[in-house]
Amino acid sequence: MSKRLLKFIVNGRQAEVAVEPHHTLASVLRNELNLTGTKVGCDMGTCGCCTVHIDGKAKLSCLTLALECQGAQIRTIEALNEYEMHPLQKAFAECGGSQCGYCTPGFIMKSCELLERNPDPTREEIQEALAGNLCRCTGFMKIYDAVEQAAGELRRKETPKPAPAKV
Amino acid sequence: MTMLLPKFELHQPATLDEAVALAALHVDDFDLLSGGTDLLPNYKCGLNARHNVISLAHIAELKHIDGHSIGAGVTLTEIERNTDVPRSVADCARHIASPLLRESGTLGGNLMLDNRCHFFNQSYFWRRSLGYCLKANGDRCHVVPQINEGGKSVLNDKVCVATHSSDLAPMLIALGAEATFISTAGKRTLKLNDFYWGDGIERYERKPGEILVQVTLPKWAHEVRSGWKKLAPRQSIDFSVVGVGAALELDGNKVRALRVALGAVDTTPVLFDFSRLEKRKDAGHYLLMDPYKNMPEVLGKTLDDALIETVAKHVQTQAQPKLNVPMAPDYRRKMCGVLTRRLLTQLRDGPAE
Repeated sequence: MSKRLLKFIVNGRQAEVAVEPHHTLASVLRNELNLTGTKVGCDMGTCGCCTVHIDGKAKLSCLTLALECQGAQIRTIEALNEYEMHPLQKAFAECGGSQCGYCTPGFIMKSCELLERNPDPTREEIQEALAGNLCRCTGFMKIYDAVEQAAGELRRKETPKPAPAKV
Repeated sequence: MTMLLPKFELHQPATLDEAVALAALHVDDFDLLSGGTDLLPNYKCGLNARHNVISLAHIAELKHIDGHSIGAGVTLTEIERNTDVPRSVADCARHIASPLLRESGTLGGNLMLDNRCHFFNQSYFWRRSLGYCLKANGDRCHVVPQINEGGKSVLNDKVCVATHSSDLAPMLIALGAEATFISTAGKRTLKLNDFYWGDGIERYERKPGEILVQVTLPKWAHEVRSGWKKLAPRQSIDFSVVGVGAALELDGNKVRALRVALGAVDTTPVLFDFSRLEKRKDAGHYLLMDPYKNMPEVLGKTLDDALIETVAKHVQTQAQPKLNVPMAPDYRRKMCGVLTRRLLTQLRDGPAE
């Protein structure tokens, strides 16, 4: 039950931390790497606050042992606004999809995975994808609005501009 | 709220052989970890934590999936999106927990799910204030405090009635699935239905150091009509409080085979094999229920509304839910019948399109 060296890539940067076998990924991210954007709500897998991307899949970091992520690629909420606010973050702010803000990192990370997999989700698909995240403030409607708005924004960004007309 | 995990040693074998050797080495004191979505919450509550945790997450041999066999390490999301498995199995997987939990949770973990009870799945402090329970640290059951022993009512310090809440187990049992286990003694295959037995603590027949490798579906599982219905407080996250899986084979409109399996009303999934294609187990196989008592004859009869009602009534009469998971036992018992009726009607009439 001694500490072991965990080497993984967090938000594009190589990280090396000595962790004990019973440390969860959420506690390592928050306590060792100071990435406190990831929140811990229930710590039992019910609320979805601690969602991060592990090798591109949205998973609960409170129910993942840190050592199970040896060599994995981790992406947390901090990676989304390295240069400017991510369209999802803007949309959550504009639509009022965030009130107390505690659940928001989880919602945004799960929505982000959804939009990468499915750039044009229907309302039902958004609702189903976010079924594992709990929000006690907004009543969810504004969150769904925000994801729809961000999806539109991201699609516009990705559509290549028409080539300039030749003279 | 941060809940601390107890200290344990984590073993991360890369092959199945290594895992089997580790399980044999720590045979009295190990737990298997795959997705961790059931084990780690229990550990955080201090429920029967062991000193050795063997992770199966890095074993490629357990991650194979095709139409006939599903590896124990296949995640529920993969089952849900797979197009080769029967649609009922994918549909069942799609209704387990939440998308986030399904991304980690695996078939093996869902089949080996620890039984649940109001008096068991609680924090350490909560349980300490009540003096613990039979399933963890304690010596009495709070759900069934007294049992009848030789005509006398005595304190129940023997039988745990915690509920088995797995969804895939009853669905796969209805489809006649077989489970393959591996240990140092070699491989062993048995009917999934025979695997589950006993009370809420024992709950299955697993030999020391055995690891579930895969679940195999018979050929007929793809040919019959099958489906799944579940009752839970919310549509996502929650464990089911009643689950009904059924496999139905029709000859014209006459019943050729019918298997109904109930989940979350007993300490194990319960199979009602109306066609009795398999040999009946001895009485006492199920802790609370006797599915074969007064079983109506349905083979060769026309599957009309009256026959469906008879089958549903039988399932409802035999179900013995206890007050140890959300929702009242009377309501859950009634819903066993209602869900069976809805499911069989849907299977008879085909999918609504």
